[in-house]
Amino acid sequence: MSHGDAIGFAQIILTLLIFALGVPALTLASIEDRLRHLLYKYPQNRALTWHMALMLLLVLAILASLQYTVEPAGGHGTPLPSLSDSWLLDEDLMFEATRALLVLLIAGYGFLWLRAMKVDTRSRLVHDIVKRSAKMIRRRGYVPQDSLDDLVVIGECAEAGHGKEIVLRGLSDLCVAIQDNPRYGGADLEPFSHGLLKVMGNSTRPGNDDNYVTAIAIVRRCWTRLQRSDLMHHADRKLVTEVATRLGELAVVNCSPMIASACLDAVDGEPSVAFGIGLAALKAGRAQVALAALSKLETQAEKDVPALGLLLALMAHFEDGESRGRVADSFRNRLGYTVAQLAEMRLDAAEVFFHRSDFITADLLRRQATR
Amino acid sequence: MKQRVLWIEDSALDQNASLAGPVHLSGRYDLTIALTATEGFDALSRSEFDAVIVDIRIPPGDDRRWVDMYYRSFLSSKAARLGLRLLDTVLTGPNTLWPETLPASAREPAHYGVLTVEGIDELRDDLTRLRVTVYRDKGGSDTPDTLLEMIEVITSQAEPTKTGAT
Repeated sequence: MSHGDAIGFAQIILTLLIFALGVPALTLASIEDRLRHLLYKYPQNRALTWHMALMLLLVLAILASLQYTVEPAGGHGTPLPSLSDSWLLDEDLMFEATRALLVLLIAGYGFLWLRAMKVDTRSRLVHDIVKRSAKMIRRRGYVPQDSLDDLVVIGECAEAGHGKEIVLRGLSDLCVAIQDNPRYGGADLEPFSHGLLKVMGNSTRPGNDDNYVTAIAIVRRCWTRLQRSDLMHHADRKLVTEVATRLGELAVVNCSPMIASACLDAVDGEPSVAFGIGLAALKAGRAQVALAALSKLETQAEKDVPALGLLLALMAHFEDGESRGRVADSFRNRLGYTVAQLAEMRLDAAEVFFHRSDFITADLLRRQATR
Repeated sequence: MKQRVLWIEDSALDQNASLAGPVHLSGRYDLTIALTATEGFDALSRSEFDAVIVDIRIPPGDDRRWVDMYYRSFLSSKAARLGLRLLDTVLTGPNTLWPETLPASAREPAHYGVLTVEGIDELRDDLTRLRVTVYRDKGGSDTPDTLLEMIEVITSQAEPTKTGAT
């Protein structure tokens, strides 16, 4: 190889080096801070380190191999002083060894690349965190908050679909592990519920319909397990109810009406869920969901007095509009109460909403009671 | 007291969701929606329903048994026809794969109806075998009252069986 060729070759190698080191560096730089921290915290970033180290070695090996092939500038036949001279080694042997090293490095790099293509880093990270956390639950009965935070960060930063799905499944596994643990006393789900809502409710990256289906299934499973364990008088009942409501409110904005309506059945017999979802649906102009919520409250009001108050309150919001008013009329007629009875019940309900600081609903109820 | 209705339907279309409107407005039915085969089967195991409307193309949910069926059909809800398999599972009784005990009403074909895009010709043999007689084509029956009418037919035909049972 002539000296000029060698310089050209060296420039190609330099470009390759910059590319090989620059791409991972750029990739890392483009990742959100919170995720980058996780890549360093958990061992999944080894692939990246190996990539950079192998690339460096590869370039060095190529440069070393040039020693034996480059002719000096302007001269013919006189080789450059080589390492082998100083080490008193056979030059051919060194050339072959360098070439073998080169082949090995290229093969290693190829293997690493193929492996990186196959492995989903996010899945591995989630799998690792869930595995560690499940072990912790079995041993101590709780999940370390930082592990759970890490899981939630991955879910928050993930795009809708598969990315969020793997985190949701991880959260689901941990909820099952917590509730199946003999030490579970009906008050340990709070961090999970907050995590679930953060993953689904990220304003820039909300979940898609499939993610909501999974999230609803998680809430329902938690609820069923609470019922089966006879822990309905503990804190987690209220918490799961709130999560179902919040999830429904988010689904009203982000999902199809069928999914949002399905949130109404995520927990049984909790009228606050139907009220919250119904109100959110009315605000968002999702009449189908609002109607489903009103119907659900009507069913619950047949056997539950607080549900009747919430039904009247949602009806009051419905009456703010002509067609919606017709719907409210038909529901009111079915209740079968006299005007005086309805007025009294509305005033009672208005008082409840006043104390909950929901002044808009309280005023609506009071206005209707005195009309 | 409202009659309980389960609608197993995953559709993301607003058009299908609007079918629920007349059911809610009628004030006679408490409609529960299940979005997957897993949720549908769980709902049937947990509660008694007066009518159950099933779509044929539904996703599996997270129960391994439904997921396996779905995977064996190359992840196609059209090929998997999990709604039909769900009907088969609940109506043909417990077996080694599905040992769960369901309420008696869940085993009664008169409580079921199929609302789907599949044509009747594709389903006739299976529905006859399962003794499910109420069927509507989603594409063909494009009136907003389709779901309500189906529920009325099912509850009226299921009533004599209920009375007979008592």
